[in-house]
Amino acid sequence: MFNAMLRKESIVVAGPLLAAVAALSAMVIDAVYESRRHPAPQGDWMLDESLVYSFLIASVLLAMTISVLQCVTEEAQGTWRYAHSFPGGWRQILKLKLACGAVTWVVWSSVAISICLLGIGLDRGSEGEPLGKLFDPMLRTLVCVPIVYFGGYLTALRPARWYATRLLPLLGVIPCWFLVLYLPNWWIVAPLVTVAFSAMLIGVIFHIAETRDFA
Amino acid sequence: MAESVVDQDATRQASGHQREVVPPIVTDRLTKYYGGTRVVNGLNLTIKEGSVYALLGRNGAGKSTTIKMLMGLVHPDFGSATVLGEAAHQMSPETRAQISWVGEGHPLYKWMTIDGAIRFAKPFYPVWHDDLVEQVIDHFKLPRKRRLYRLSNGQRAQVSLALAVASDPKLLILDDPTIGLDTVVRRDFLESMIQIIQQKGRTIVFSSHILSDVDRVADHIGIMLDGVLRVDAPTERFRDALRKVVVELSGPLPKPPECPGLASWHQNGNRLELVFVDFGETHQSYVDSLLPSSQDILELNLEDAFVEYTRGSRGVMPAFAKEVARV
Amino acid sequence: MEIQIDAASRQPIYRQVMVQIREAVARGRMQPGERLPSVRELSSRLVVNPNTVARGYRELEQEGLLNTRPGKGVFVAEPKTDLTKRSRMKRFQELMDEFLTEAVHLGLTGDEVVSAVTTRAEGFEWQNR
Repeated sequence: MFNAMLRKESIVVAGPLLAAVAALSAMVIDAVYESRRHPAPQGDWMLDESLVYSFLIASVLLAMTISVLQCVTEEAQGTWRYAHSFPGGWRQILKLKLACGAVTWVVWSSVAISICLLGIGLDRGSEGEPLGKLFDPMLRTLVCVPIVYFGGYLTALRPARWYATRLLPLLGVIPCWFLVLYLPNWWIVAPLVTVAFSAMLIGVIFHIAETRDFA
Repeated sequence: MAESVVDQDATRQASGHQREVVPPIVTDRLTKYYGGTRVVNGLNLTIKEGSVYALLGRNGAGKSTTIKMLMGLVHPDFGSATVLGEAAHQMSPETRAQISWVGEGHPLYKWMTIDGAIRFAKPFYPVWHDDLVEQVIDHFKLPRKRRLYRLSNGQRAQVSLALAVASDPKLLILDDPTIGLDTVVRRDFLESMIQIIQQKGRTIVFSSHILSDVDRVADHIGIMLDGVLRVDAPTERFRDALRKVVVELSGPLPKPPECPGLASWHQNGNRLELVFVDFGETHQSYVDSLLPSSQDILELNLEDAFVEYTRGSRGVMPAFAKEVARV
Repeated sequence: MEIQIDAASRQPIYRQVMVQIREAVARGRMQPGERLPSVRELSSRLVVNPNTVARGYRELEQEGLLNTRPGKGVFVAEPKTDLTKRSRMKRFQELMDEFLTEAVHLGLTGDEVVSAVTTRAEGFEWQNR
């Protein structure tokens, strides 16, 4: 079941994933060239910042795109009702889709970090230290991307008819996300905040699917 | 207005033999509002096991909404729908595994091939019969490796039906499965349905607008009018219940007098057509009281019976004929 | 034998089946003891609910035209001899009166009727008794 769903969702997700990988790679390569052309006194700093921004933007856009696509492609084909007719019903379908989202997050994390590490490696001006500096913001980003994903999913979910339930998650997610990114001791607080928020969003997603009409 | 045609025997049977078999579908005062309108209004429907039940009605009568409530897609505002013994929107996976649904337009993942669609659906079901799917695919020579968006509507409909049967369901719910299909392809689809019907014990519920198809296939029909179930009877019983009496009058009537059981009337010059439900002696005297110069009593086929029953009075035809215009 | 149905006809499908089988037997196209297609076969061929075919067969069986041999199928029955000749003649006379009334209204003469009947009867299979 999971394999079948994963295979199907991969086709939906593959496009944006590849686009994000391509975009990140392009941004990293560009940053490396910039750094080589204009080596600043602290050359690594430029690379750091651009890498961090690229990573952030690519991750967030990917999360939003995937979450929206997973919902919207079902609706566009009218297949929500078809999937709903399977024995597991909408609960199973939702769980499987969200699980596929999680798998995509893992895949993206490994690929994106590898690209950044490669970029660092290519930039001859950098030393061992930047790794530490880079990992920090990258991990923060990865930790709060789930919130963006679930927020996007809730926004695009078929039974969520009210504008409140559509816009609120997307808007509410952004301040929370900034909060996580810039907290001190983030490595303790951020995962907790992410888990708590994600749990809440997932709860709302399932509640909406339970109480609203799928027609 | 239209009288209800209800098969008394069936309702008596269903309530008397409750200890025996639970009917696969039972609704109790099922009601749904959309905005201020009651789209489904106090629906009391019981569908017996093994029957082929056609749910009929004009567009907007509430058939689709009813079917969605039976599948648990939509929550009723009042009343209940019980499917295979469980509340429709809280059915357990074991129960849902025994129900197959084909929706309007046969929604499928069109980018999949036939093989891909089978491979996708199969793991979700505890029971899956590859041979049942094979039968349909081989019989209609469907191209297994072709993507669904490249198949014709008719071929996709067959794939939908094949997938629906593979899980060997006890209950099949088909929401207007032949919509948009041409005559030949519809016949193919009906053939498949007949094959399914021949294997006993399955209950089939379907909605359709093609009354001649319904006449071939359905043994029970239910007609919904404005959200209410007006007719719930064996197909034959409904057909039998309606009679068209064509009378020639000496002069046109402005409007025929009221009569219980008069479903509709239509006048064209001196010719008056009256459609009665359960034509009997009172109706015969009524007709005679109009002093017709001639009268003919005709049976109706299912399509005409349905049209006359659901259309209501057309009154006087808009003038083609000069005589009517003068009046 | 070929049975055809018209789903849009005013005549219910099961009755169309019955009428055609009755005529086939009367015209000799089907002989006593000949096997009819099974309910399943015929319902597939005609694309109608098997119950409809079953009903037609059942009513013909009640009329005595068909009989079912369990496990073997549905067959054309041997012509019945349980009704006395007199009661059969009585029934036939009732039908004849209807037929002759119609002929009168259509403006035919007695001789035209007799000659038409003689010609038409040649297309049917009569029992020698």
